[in-house]
Amino acid sequence: MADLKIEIPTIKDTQSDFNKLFKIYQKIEDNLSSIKNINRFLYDFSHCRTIYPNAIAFLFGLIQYLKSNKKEIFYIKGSLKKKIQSQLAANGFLNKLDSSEEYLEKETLVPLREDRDIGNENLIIDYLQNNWLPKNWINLSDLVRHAIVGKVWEIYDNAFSHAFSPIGIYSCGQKIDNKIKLAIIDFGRGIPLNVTEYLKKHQMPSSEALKWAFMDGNTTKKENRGLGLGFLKSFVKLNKGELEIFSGTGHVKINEKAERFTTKKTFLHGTLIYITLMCDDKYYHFTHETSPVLAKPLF
Amino acid sequence: MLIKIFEITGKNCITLEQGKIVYDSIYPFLIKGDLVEMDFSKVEIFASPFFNQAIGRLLENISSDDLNKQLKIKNLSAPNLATLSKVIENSKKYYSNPKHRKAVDKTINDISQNSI
Repeated sequence: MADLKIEIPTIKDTQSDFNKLFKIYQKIEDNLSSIKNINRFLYDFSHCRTIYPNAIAFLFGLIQYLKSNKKEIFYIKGSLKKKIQSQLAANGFLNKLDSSEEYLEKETLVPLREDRDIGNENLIIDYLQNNWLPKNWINLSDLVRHAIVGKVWEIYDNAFSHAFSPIGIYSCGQKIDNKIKLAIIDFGRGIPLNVTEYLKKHQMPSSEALKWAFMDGNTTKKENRGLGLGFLKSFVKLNKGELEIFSGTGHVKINEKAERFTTKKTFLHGTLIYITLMCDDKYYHFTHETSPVLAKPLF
Repeated sequence: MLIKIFEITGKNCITLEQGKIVYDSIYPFLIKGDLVEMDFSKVEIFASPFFNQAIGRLLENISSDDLNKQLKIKNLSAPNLATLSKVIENSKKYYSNPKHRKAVDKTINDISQNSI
């Protein structure tokens, strides 16, 4: 039986970089079913000069996805350039694959995280507060920090409730120049599939399905839920950051200028959420941060 | 009745399950007309699944007017109060939705028939 090499190129976070990731996924999917005499899949990093956290979370999640399909995937140790080796050691990627590899913390990295189930909500909150939004990276009042963390936690909660990902959720981040990035990915059903099945509108374009999913009050669950992206979206726009979501063939990009929903030709079996915040010299706080006296009835 | 939410949930009020625990603590008092005060001091992180279950769900069986008279919220910052207001607004629509009401009515009828 032979090993199948999967070449990992330089991957940042432009549209074509995300397409590279989805092509890697497709190559693996295609080979899973058609070629039975593959011993292992091997990541070959010899052409990779830079790798961003979206790729790290994605590639590690793919490893777990393959393991759940009883296939092995590993990496060619000699293929790692020094810079890439150092980065993958620092965010825990190598240590998670091979515990003999040293885990070296590095200041600008947000560690790779694996959550198989919802039971770790307090740990996820700590991760988001202390690793992704430490106080020396971006000037936020405690209330703003808490509000962002609460909203991003809802992304995890939604993924656990809706995605039915057989392998859980993977996150990774990094501070690159003056931007903080966080990628959260699951390999579950994807939002468009959930929405089109719920609404019984199987011809609905993925872009429309995503738009429906992110409207306040909409949910595919029986309970009263669905408050959309709310504050996170508002903050990203104010901060001149970006919020990008890939799910199935659906894609949405939200920034200060626009919210653009599209249906792409590439397909992701799951959902990838990518948040970019700008580290500028502003101090972000709410206009009113105290506990107010209610001017009108609450109900 | 005063309920200190931090003593039940800790500093994170984020999950559906936490919301259910709080709901189960306050509902019996509210349904019989008692006053309930919810104190959110020391709680830091909030998420809508918690608010949906703990407070939004009260609208299923208790009117807005009664809740305004009986339920007091303390030490919740303006931004979190805004989130709670949105949850309440959504909950009002959800629990007044005829489809939902139809499902509830059918369930009640089924239970009634099975009890005869």
